[in-house]
Amino acid sequence: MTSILKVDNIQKANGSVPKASDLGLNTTGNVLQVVQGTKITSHAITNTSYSSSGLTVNITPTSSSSKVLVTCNWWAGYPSQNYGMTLTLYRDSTNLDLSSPRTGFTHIGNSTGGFQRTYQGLDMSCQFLDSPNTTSETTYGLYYKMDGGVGYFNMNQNGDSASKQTCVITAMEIEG
Amino acid sequence: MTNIINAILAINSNARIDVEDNDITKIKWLEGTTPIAEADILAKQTELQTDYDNKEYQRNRASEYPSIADQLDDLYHNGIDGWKTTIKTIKDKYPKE
Repeated sequence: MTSILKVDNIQKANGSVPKASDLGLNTTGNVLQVVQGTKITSHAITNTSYSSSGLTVNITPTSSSSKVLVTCNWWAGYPSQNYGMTLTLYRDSTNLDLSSPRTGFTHIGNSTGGFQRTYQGLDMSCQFLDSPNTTSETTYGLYYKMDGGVGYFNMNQNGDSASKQTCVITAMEIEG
Repeated sequence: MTNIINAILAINSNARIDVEDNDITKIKWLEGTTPIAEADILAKQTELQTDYDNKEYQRNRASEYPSIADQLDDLYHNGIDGWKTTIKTIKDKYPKE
């Protein structure tokens, strides 16, 4: 037997507008909020321990069961020859990378580039589905380090101002 | 233009730093690196830039010299004097100042 329920308005007992989950619907996987951080400055680095690139985004999960999908896009020049730059995502002070021993989500190296790589670089990206288990404000950020030499974030080796782009980090709260 | 980071590394090759926007006021001194005075960095930058500028003739010559294969061919066909003539034309075009 088919039933049809028609109503003009649904409110919670306190008069507020209900969420889908308040109505007993399965909302797992819904996007609850999206926030974004951007950065247009460039960096030349030599640090061999992770340091923040300054590309960060803050998000306050509405539920401790939520997941957070973090995506990050940036541009990097080739490092000085025979060296590489490794990049990873941090949640506050925690490195989210799970790999060993290299660590890091992405890497850009320069072993045979030659002179032309002075002016070149790569569009780079990474993403991670995190389970922060918190409802406190959380900061996600892109960190970088070198294995020697000089690395170039959002600039080429030559430092051309035209080589700078807008780098973006996005955090999406996914209902758990 | 010589970057700030190159000037710093010319002073301290082991410096661990993060230079934002090639701006001397936006340097992070990391991993225990002792900061270097701005005046010293700027002086080194000027020194490196002067050195770079003084070697422009070298870069111009290098880009116009024939490939090694072509120079060997020149030697084979025209002898050492013919090869020297080829090279001297380029050297004269970009004299050492």
